[in-house]
This record gives sequence, C-alpha cells and structure tokens, in this order.
Amino acid sequence: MRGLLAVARREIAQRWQLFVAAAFAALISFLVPLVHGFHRMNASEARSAFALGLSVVFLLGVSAYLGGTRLPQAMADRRIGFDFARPLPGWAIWAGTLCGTLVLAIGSALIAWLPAALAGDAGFWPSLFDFTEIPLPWPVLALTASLFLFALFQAAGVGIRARSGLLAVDMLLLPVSLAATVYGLARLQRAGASLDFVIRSATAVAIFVVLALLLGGLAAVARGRTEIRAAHRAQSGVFWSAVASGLIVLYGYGAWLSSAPPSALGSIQTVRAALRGDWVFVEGAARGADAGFLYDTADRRSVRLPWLSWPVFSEDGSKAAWMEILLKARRLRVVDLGSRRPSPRTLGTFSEQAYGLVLDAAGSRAAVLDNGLASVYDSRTGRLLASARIVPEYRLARLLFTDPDHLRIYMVPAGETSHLDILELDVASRRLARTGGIGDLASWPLLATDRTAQRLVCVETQSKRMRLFDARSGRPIRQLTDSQKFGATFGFLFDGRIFVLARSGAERVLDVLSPDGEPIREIPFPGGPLKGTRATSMGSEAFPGQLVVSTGEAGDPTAFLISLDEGTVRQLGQHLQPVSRWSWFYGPANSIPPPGTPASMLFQDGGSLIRLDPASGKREAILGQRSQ
Amino acid sequence: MTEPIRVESLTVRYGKTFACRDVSFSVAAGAVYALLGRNGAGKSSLVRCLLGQQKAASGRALLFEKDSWKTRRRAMEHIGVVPEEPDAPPAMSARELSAFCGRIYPRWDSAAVAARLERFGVPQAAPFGRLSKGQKGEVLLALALGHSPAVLVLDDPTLGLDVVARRALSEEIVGELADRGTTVFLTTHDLAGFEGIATRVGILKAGRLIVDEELESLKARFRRIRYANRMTETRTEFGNELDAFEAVRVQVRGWGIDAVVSNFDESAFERFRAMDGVENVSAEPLSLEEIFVALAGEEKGKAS
Repeated sequence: MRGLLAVARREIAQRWQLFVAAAFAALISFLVPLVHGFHRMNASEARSAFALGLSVVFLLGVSAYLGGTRLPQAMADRRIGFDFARPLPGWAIWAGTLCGTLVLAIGSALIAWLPAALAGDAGFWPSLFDFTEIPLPWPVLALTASLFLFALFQAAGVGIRARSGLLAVDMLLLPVSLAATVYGLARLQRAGASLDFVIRSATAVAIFVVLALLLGGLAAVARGRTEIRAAHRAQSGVFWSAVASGLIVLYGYGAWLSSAPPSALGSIQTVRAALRGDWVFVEGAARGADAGFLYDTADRRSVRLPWLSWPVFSEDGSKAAWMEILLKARRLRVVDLGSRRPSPRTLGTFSEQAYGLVLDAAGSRAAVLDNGLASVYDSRTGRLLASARIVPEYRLARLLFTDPDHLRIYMVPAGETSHLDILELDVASRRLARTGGIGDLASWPLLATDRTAQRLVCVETQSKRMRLFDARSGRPIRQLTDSQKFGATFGFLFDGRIFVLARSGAERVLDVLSPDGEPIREIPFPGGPLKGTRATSMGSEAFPGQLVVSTGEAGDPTAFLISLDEGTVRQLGQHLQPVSRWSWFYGPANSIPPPGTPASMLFQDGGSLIRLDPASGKREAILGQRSQ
Repeated sequence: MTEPIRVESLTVRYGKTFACRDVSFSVAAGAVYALLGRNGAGKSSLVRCLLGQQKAASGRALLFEKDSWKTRRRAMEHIGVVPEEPDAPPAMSARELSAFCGRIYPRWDSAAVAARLERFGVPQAAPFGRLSKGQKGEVLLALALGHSPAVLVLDDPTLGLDVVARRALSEEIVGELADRGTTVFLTTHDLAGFEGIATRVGILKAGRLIVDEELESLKARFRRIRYANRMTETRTEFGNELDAFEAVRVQVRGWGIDAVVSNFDESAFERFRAMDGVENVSAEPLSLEEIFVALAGEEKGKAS
C-alpha cells in the first residue's frame, strides 16, 4: 500500500497543472452567457450546461489520455524499469498510476464543474440525469466511465505499441466476442428472462468488461514488466480468458434457464388445455425466468417452447403449433403430441406481421395470415396448399377451419369501424369468396362461434349490444341482450347453448340461452357483484350442463360448479381457478370442449396446477409449488 | 551470503532470436563482476532477467539465492540499479526523485543522496529530463546508492559519458567499494575504466558466455606473442609452431606474426622460442580491452 500511495502521489505531483487548467476552464463557463448565441438562454442554465460539458471532457479526456499514454509508453521505452528497479510490486505500480489518474480526472472534472454548480441552478443537474435508464447513480457511472476509459486506452496503447501479430488476434476476437455477448443476452431473453433482468445482465456484462480490462491492464504491468510484448501477451491472455469465462457463465446461465424442466416451474401463471387429451400449455416462472411448456398431465412428457410462444392445439389434441419469434421474422413450428418423444419441426418462416395461426380439427392443416395473405399449409409436409390475398391491412382478423378444406376469415378492414367481412377460402379450388358480413357494427366486436361454426355471437363492447348471427353469411338471427343487461363474458356450450355472464342491477347473473338465443334460465352468479379487483374465470363443462367457474379477488378466486339445467351452485374450493376456456387469442373460436374432458378437471391453485375431481373432491398436484 | 548473484542456464529469446543462450555464472559477495560483450551480445537482456524485470525463456536468475522473477520486490530493497538508459520520470527533479525513493525504501538516506549530488555538482531542483546525460547518470547512481545496497547493478553506466563524467562515476563506485565492500555487477564498454576495479570478468559473445573467470587469472593466461617466422617468406600461411598454445587470434603482419594466446605459460614459451625458424620472439601481457577484442572481435585471420 505504501508503494501504491507513493506512485499515486508521484502521478498527481507530475501533472498537477491539470487542476490549474480545469480551474481556468471553469472561469470560462462564467463568460458563456455573454457569448452571442447563448445570451438568450437562461444564464444559469447556459453556465451549468457549459460547465457540465467541460467536466465531462476533463473526466473522460484525462482518463483516456493518461490510460493510453502513461503505462503503455513507459513499458514501450522501458522507462517503467525505474519503478521495477525499486521495491515496488507490479500491482502497486499499476494501481498507483490508476489511482493517480482517477484523482486527476475526477478532481479536474470537479474543479471545472463546481463553480458553476455553486453559482447555478441546483435543480438543473438532477434533471440532466433523468434520461439515463442505467441502474447506476451518476457518480458511480462517472467513476465507471473513467475506469473503463483508462483501462480501454491502456489496453489499446499496449496492443498498438507492442506491434505484434497478437493485435490482429485481438481485432478478430473483439467483434466476435461482442457479437457473442449480444447473442448471449438475446438468448437470455429468449430463455424467458425478464427485460429488466436482461438489462441488469447487460449492465453486469459492461461492469465485467471493465473489470476484465482492468485485470488485463494489471496483468500487463505485473507480468509484462519492462517487456511490452510480454505485457501484451499477459494482457490479452487475461482479458480474453476473463471474457471467455464471462461468456461461458452467460451461456451457461442461458442454457441452465433453457433446460429448466416443467418440474422447475415454481409459479404457474397461465394454463391452457387442449380440448381433448391430456396436453396443456403451462407458462410461469422457472429458475427465475419465464418458461412455457407443452406438458402431458398424464405421462409427464413435455416440449419446451421458446420465449413468447403461445401454442394452439388441434381440436383432437394430437397436434400443437406456435409462432416462434426470430430477430426479424416468425417461424411456424408444429409438434406431433402423439409421438413417444415429441419433437417440433418447422413448417415455414414468415414476416413479423404473421398472425392468426389456427389448426384444423385433426391438426393436418395450419393456416396463418401474413401481410394480407391467408395461407393454408399441410402440417405434415409444410407444403403450401392454398393462399389468397385479403385486404393488406385490417383492424381485426380471425381465422377458423370449418372443415379441413374450408378456412373462414372474419375481418374488419383497416379504417373501417362499422363493417365486418366474412370470407371463406376453399382449399381445394384455392378460391377466396366473400360469404357475407355484418354491416352495422357500432363499436369494436368480440366474436365467438359454436363448435360447428354455424352461429356467431358478436358483442359490441362500447354500444353494449349482443347479437346472434349466421356465422357464414352474417345474417342476423336475434338480439341476445339489451344494454341494461350486458356482459362481455360469453360463449357457447358443447351442445350449442349460449351462456352470458351479465349484469342485472348490482348483481351478476349467468344467462343460459338456447342455440337460437331464446332465454332458458337466469342463474344468480356466485361471489357477489363485480367490483374493484374482482375477476371471473369461465372454465368448461365438468359434466354435461355443469359449468366450472371461479370468481373473487384477483389472486384469490373461489371455484364453483354451476348446474345450468337446475340453476344450482356448488362451491368446489377456495384459491382455485379453472383452466380457462379457449378464447380466440389462444385457439379457434369454434373450439368448444366436450363435457368431462381431463381439461375440465384442471385448476390453478395459487402458482400450482392441480387436478380436482369435482365429483369426489379428490385433489392431485401436477406442477408448480404444491407438486414440489 | 556467499553468492548474492547466480545465473543458471539462462536463455532469453525474442521470437526465434536468442538474446542469450544457456548462460550460467555466479558473483561472490564483495566481488566486482564485469560482464563484457559487443552491442547486441545479450548483456541488457541478461541484466533485465537478473533484476526480475523480464522473464527468461528458460533457466533462472537468482538474487540472494532466490528466483529474481518471483522475489524481485524484496530483492530490490537490497539492490541499487543504474540502467543503460536514464529512465527516471523526466518531470521530477533529483530532490523529488530522492523523496519518492524515501517513501518506498525501508531505509533511505536522503542526506547521503543530497551530499553525493552536491559532490557531483548536479542541480537538485532541475527536472531530470533537462539534465545532461552525465548528470542523469550521476543522479541515478546517487539514487542507486541511497539505501546502501548490498549489490549494485550497473548496466553500461558510462555509455555516452565524457571522460570527466566517466571518471567521477568510477571513482564513486571505487569509494563505495572501499567504504562498504558492495558487490558490483556491471556491464560496460568502458573496459579501461573498470579494469582497475573488476575482480571477475564474463564475456558474452552472440548470446553465449565464452569467458567467466577471475580477472587476474584471465590476464595471466593471455599473452600477445610476436615473432618472425622464416617460413613465411616462402609460404603465405603460417605453420604449426603455435600448436602448443591456444591461439585465439593470429594475424600475419609484414614483419612477422602477431598472435594472441589464451594458455600462456613460461615453459611452453621457452620451447617455442627455441623452435627452428622462429626468431625475434616477444611475449607481452594484454589489457582487458585487448583480451576482449581478441575474444569478441571479428574472426578474420583466426587459425582454424
């Protein structure tokens, strides 16, 4: 430590004139408001801004200049031999020089800044730093920047002055490691790490690079001593080893996140089940990152899905497909869930606008909208079977297969607010035809069809109108509820009946309507009026005519079994939420689960997925906290 | 402490070029070891390895029986160094340099340094970079002696100095030796200047140590033999009359033959003198410089 202080003191004593220069510069900032062009500005702000600029110039300039010249030059002309001929450890020579430089850089920056800061508007300074989203306080940021520039310029100075072939290797490794780091960070995000975590990781990487540069600089002096080429070798060896270690940690962590099995899900946020079979899509936090899986609740097979991949299932539960996010594209992936070891395969690559993926009932065909082009693919071979251009831009477009040979498209063209087109693509003839439409929409529509795709419920949210239409032609069949009794939660049952969770005064009721829209029964909905943060989730039919629902405060729902035929309500348990019905965001709107499927017995219990037999009340943990 | 300096099979290389190869020698306590060699012979590389400033490709240099690369910092507490090129920070004055050293050496005699600089006549407040080359050398010598080192390492300290400065430097070293018996390891081209104080000599040639010997012994076995050989009147080549000696340098002159031999002894010389056809024989002792030139110089005319 004695040596370090002696060297630092010497560095400062040799360059104390920098402080004088900074003080002189600080005085100039007081003249700035008088300069033509600045005199219209607020004098305090003009002075402060100029002083800040000077301060930054001194901080960064002194760090870079002394970093690039002081030690590299001393090593290149062997002047550093003076220090090495004294009882000074190599680290003290390096650290003393670094500390001296920091004192000179920070000291001169403060001298340039302080007078204007003392005389100026104190509120000006914090506002300047508001724009930075880097999670470091600005004094730490300034110190880090100074350290970084010192280390970077020392490394560059040593490399350039050594004039060895190793410099070419450095130049080659630099972009490679930069690309590898960016890719590694992107991979973290793809592995499900939150954006906040990725930003923190990027900050950690930046700090690690500064540390690696500093370590390289230390090695250059301590091991290279008076030999600049040996210094360069030591510097590159340490720096690239540190970078390689960092990349191994980054990629290892990414691989660890990516390899999390479904059993690592500590908290499950989303569960969507296939209409038939035992497969579900589960999404939650595993090893501190978001993770999504296709998971067989019967025999525990699983398929890890990439980040932000939301799958759709075929109606028979034999296939699943999803759009994988690439840098500037989307990749359509399909997996055969019936195989012993399900392995996804790529059907095709689409633009970033690709949208509306659906599978037909058997999963033999997949349809997707991309840049106004509706296309149908053979999901086994990836062969394009039919394609047709609809309008290039649309406000809303929903696809569904009415059968393997017919793709129906519900679409609100861009710029339209009152018009819904119904189109149908005949796969065999490859012809697109408009089969009908709804021409008097008063506001943005919510849509649902029955499982045969013959009837369509359209809810206009702002005008609070709910109507039943012929799903193919758009012919109105009936107005279902009026604005006094409106509900945006609705759907079809397997037998074609319609349910609507509606408001009736201060209370909520579950209206059951016939397939033609005739009111059959009004059942008081459990859980009291909908207010505050209360949420409702509609499940599927556990038994014919018996619908599973949940309601309650967000995060603490209570599950009920409602008999639609008898109007009775039975509580199934607290803290339970049924696995949601498919909305059109997650699958074709005509996907109505038949009663009594395995999916109807799946519930989210806090962060866990459990199976609950509504008849016997028997529970079984499947995934998440309660299964661990 | 019998051998404060020992070098074992030291090899230094820069890429494919060897600066010195498999060099071994040792310096006893109190000795003055002069390492000689032509420019590029590898002296400075060897000195840097010895001081722990450069890592050898193989072999090792020991200071006080310990590897100098590993224990440099501790060894430097007992070693004074005057480098080939003045390397002190140019902006610092001699006084500031002495103060700096005072902060890092456990024992530092600022007064002795100041007195020595006073004796040299070096301005102590002037920046080191503005001093003459001789003054720089004197400052560095004063700094090297400021902590009363057990070993003084001088890497060609008189390079580029005028006669007066050279004389002052060697007198100071002689004084130091007389006062404290400091071990001195030096490399030099100023053979005459240090001949009087060197006790042992090493000669590096193309990176190899070809001589490592006490100076007296070296001088005793080297002679310049001059003679006329009647046979040279009829033959351009010399004969085998020098076979009894190891001739390191033989030159044919107009008046006869001028040979430097490295194993001179009186009885062999008497037999040589009595040989048929050899006449006008004389044997003269050689200065260190002449021995060095004979060993390290160009090899034109040398007997094979």
